[in-house]
Amino acid sequence: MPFVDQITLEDNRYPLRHRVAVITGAESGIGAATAAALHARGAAVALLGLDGRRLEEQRSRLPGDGLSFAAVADVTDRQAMSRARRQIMDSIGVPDLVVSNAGVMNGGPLRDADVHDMTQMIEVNVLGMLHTAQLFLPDLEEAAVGSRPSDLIFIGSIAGEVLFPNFSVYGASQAAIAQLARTLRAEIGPNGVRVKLVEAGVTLTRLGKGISDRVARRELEDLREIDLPLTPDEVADAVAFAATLPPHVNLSELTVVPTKHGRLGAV
Amino acid sequence: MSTLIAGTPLAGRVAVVTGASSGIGEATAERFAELGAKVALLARRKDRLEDVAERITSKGGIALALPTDVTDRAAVRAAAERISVELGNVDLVFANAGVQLISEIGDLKTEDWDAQIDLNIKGVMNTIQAFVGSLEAAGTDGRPADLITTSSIAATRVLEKFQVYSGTKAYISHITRLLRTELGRKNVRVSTVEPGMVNTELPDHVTDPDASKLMADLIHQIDVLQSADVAETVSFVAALPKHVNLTELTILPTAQII
Repeated sequence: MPFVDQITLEDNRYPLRHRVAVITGAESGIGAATAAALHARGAAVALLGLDGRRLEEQRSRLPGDGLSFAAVADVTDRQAMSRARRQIMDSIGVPDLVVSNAGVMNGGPLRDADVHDMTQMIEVNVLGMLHTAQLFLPDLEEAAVGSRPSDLIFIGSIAGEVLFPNFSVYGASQAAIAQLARTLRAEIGPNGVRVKLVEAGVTLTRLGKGISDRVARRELEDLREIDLPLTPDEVADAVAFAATLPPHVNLSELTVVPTKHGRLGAV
Repeated sequence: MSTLIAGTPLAGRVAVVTGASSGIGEATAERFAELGAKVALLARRKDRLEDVAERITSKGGIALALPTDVTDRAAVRAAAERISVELGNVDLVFANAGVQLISEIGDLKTEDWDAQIDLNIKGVMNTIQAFVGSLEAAGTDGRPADLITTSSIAATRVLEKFQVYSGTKAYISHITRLLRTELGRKNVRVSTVEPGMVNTELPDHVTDPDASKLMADLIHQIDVLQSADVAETVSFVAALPKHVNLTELTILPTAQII
């Protein structure tokens, strides 16, 4: 069966060929790196985010030769996300690999926290992930029929497990995502959808760049100032590895941290 | 399963795998060797261990079979000395040996309790005492160094009658976090893998009918994990750049609910 042999060869080089991926928050950081890692392995990718220019820039730099698509869509805007989903299906196909990554982080003592900042973290990190998950669930469940791979991957943070004073709202949003991912896994795993939770340690991204509180900003900068920090590409490689495992294998939770950060939390 | 990792990213590494005579340990030892590591195999069953070593050698790998009961601290230390002479300084430890024995607490099967605590906890501590110095030396030299343990989803789930087994695995998962606080700054990566249902001989030792049925049903009804699936994942952890620590992983059959 030479035809089958050819497919096997091709799949070894491009194990994610025939997969259609959607990545939220894809204009930078872990989102952009994940889009690139999936594309390099053969997947068609759709990049969603807020900054159209940066999205196009990332799209033009994708390393693979598969299809790609980029659109501005705010994860907190259900209608915009729904519109983006239809555009994705028209341009690159029905998604079977959704990476819910978009997130924001602010910090500072809760007593002084800006109400808008607090609300935004909950809206983007929690509600945004809920909208993303619910919108694409029908596609993911359909994709899983016949034991084909289908992934819903939540990019979370170790802040959902360990304690970072001055980052209470962010930590709470990450704990919510973790429990959402774990519960959804038990709910739809039997339907063949692999729900995964990636908890990243401190990574060199733009996350938290806008923190107004001086102390919180300094704490974050200190955590990033180690000689071999974790980069978005390394987190993306772990995500791509998990997506590439055979359909019956779900690497359902993984925590990835810089080796040097022995003590993960501040407390 | 088809393999995902290419090339020989573990070339130059010296690995020790406990519980290497079957299941996850056997599959991981073979995969480590294929990816370029020299591998020391520890387990009690000499015949099976030698079969694994022979299979590795026949494929061009380097393996050293050392029949060892890891509950015997002195024996593990003796094995460590032989490994350092014959293969070199160990920089990759997969402390995997474990046993699962299920009974109601009121049955007072104290021998089963002890067997699990002795192998799953003390066996891992014996392995750590024999190799932590070598791992720290590798980390200090700027080489990759890994201490990887096999835990279980039992570490976090509440499974009736699995009390002692789950307690031993919770110990393994939590000590991973604690060891990171001491070893991380020395560039030693500490990782634990918590698998769900894997098709190994682990359930074969279970005599409790309810627990046996639970596991047999899972194997029958869903596509469970194969040892090779876990081996590929453990190998990925070890093959990552040395500053990246994939420290806690849960790996489940996609269809497993628990």
